[in-house]
Amino acid sequence: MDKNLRILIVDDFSTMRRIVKNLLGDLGFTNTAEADDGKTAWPMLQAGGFDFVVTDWNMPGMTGIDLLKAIRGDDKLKGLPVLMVTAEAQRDQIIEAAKAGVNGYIIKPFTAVTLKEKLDKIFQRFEQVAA
Amino acid sequence: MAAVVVNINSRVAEREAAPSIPDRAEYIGRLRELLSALEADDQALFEARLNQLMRLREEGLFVNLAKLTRELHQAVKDLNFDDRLQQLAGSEIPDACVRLDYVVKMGEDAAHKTLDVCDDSRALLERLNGCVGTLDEIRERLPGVAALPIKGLTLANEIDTVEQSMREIGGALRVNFSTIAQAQEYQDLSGQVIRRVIALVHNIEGALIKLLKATNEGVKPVAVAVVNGELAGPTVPGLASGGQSQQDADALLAELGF
Repeated sequence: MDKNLRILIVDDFSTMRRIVKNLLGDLGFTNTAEADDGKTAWPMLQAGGFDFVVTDWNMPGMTGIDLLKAIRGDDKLKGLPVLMVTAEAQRDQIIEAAKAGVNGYIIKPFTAVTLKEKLDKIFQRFEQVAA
Repeated sequence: MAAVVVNINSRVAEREAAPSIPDRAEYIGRLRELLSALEADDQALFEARLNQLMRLREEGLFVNLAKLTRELHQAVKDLNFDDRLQQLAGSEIPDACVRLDYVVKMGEDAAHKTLDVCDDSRALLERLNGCVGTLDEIRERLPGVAALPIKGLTLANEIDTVEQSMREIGGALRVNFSTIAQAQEYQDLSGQVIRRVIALVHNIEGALIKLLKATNEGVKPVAVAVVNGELAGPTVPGLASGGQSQQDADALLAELGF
């Protein structure tokens, strides 16, 4: 997989953004940018250049699920892989995210191994589709 | 407190034990007037009398309602709820909010401090890798020393420089580890603050239950599920929140074709 993928990390807690950024860095993905909620993320995504989105669910302004729905509803962005990393662990919410077209779902607190596993799975699927 | 509750109970008992209909004589008089108007087939008078009777009934209700309100107010006052609730709502709850904000800030500051040190340690590890690279180079040049012994001096100097760098890196890492360890001290302080807030929540719960009991005799407060459309948030061990583990989530997503 291309380690130069440009990844947008969306979380309202700056510490969590740093942790995700560091973990991605350890996995070789250093081309990242950050946004503190969906509202901030949206114009960044619209400006283009991102290959992957890692987003929290519960954020003020615009939530991660709304951001996901906005991405899937946008002609230009609808194919963008979205990984949700959230403390929301209710069955209904996981189903809602799946229906909205999420590509992976990680429940906080999580480990570096889980993050790697989910990323690998998403890339594997995308490569299968591309092949 | 128990004595006051008994006092309220006895007041309630008095109210319930009162056997006679209030204003009995007045009702009898009004009903007779109403009946005679009906017998005389006087429509206007009948309506007027009926209205009077209904007003009498309404007034009685209002008087009772006012009495109940006064009693409730008195009961709350007797139990010192006015002061206690005012103190809870007026100062202790805002105070608790400030404390909790402080806990959030302490945790955030500690996390950033730790992450800063982690970033710095990564850079130190890069430097350490550089040292290993230099040592590898030096090792490759070792055979040349046999041919020209003076080169041994240069290599020894280079090894000294690398050694000095490695000592510096080691020292800096040691400082970073103690900084990380020290940054965790917030947990003690935040733990103490959170315990105080938990105690306050228990106090509020107790005051509300007493208030419920005093105003709603015999009706036990029941746990009502909170449905407010808010997100459930992190799953807390020991609370039945229906939260899924990562394994549950993976299984669920697999079921859904992920």
